[in-house]
Amino acid sequence: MILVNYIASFFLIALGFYCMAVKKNLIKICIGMGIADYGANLLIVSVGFNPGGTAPIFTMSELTQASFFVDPVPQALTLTSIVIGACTTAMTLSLVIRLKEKYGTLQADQVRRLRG
Amino acid sequence: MNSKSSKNLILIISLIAILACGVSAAIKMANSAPTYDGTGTDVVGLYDDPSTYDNSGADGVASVMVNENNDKTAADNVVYSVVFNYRGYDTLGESFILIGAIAGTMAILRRDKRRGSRKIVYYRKPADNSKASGAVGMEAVGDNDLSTNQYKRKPVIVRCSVSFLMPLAIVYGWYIVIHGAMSPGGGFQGGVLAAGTVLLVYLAYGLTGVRKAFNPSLLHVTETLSEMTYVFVGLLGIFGAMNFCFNFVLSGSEETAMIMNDAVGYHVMAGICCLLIIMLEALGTDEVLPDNGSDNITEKRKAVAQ
Repeated sequence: MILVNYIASFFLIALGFYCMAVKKNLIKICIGMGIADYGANLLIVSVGFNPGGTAPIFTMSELTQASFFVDPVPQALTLTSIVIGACTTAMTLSLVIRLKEKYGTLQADQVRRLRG
Repeated sequence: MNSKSSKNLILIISLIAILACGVSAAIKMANSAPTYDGTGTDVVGLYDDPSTYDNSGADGVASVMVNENNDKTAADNVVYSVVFNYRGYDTLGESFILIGAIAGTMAILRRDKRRGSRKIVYYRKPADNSKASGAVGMEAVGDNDLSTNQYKRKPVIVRCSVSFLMPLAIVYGWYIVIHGAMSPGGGFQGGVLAAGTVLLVYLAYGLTGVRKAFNPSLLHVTETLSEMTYVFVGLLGIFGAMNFCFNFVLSGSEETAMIMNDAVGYHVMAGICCLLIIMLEALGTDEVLPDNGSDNITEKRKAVAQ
């Protein structure tokens, strides 16, 4: 079952790279960056998964003698990754706003000063 | 073969290579053992008596963290104690990344001083029945002679639903922040949820409403203050002859991570609010521009400036 998670995360990363390489619209490039980011997050969370494990929280009403935790460290790392992804997206979008103001277009191949 | 089709070929080959490597790695990872095998850990015993942990059979850092968690940090949520106690220094740097993003966005979106600040024109319903000059049936006014209830308002359904949803959004965001110690969540997620109120206000009342409701400079100052609170609570562990971000209270269920979590929650909320306000100001959507037959917003602004 965890195989689906891994394959889906690599599929998302490849889709994000495709989006960044092929699309000319700057907003779509931002979306591609986001998709690759979420694929990486899914990969990190899936590495810490353990079949049958519960969330690493000491809640006594739900834990029994037989229950065990999944790995808490990748989840904490994913938290870091999500925040950095949000900051990167904000910076990229503000750059896109400036480009649109200066050149009046969102197409990456039309944003140029030199011709020829 | 021209250059475009060879470029496409290289792209397709590299994407297929990434996917093939990914799938083979996925199959290999799915068949390997999990990174942390917690089956041998008696979590109920650890909860009843936190000091009974035994690190001799620990097979990695996650095992040590789960074993020592209740004794050393007194936080129920292990992810939370990893973020705020074991890796508190890392979380400090993560908050500085947020400050850096806000500073970068401010630097990118700042107005050119020589051109002067852009005067934003709002439109309102004319007081008398005289012919309006700007948009159809509307009269253009400046920012200064604008009183409440005069700028163009959004539909009443949007305003009413936003007035209903805004307290819920704030309470839900701070519920996630404060319950980070015992349920999934914490400062980062809840702070972002609470910062969504800026967008709600923007949806219902436009940029003018955002300007009236929020004070970005105050938000920026208190954001820095909350970050200083985080550093201060982290340093208290050093004053208590322990490590940075160590829980220096260590009696029963008191945890220092709670204060650090609330500080990070406020920090993230204020930071994302600042970020959103800066971007909305840069978009300047309440502006009315003269209709000179051009679709380009930059040329219209140049026409206004001249």
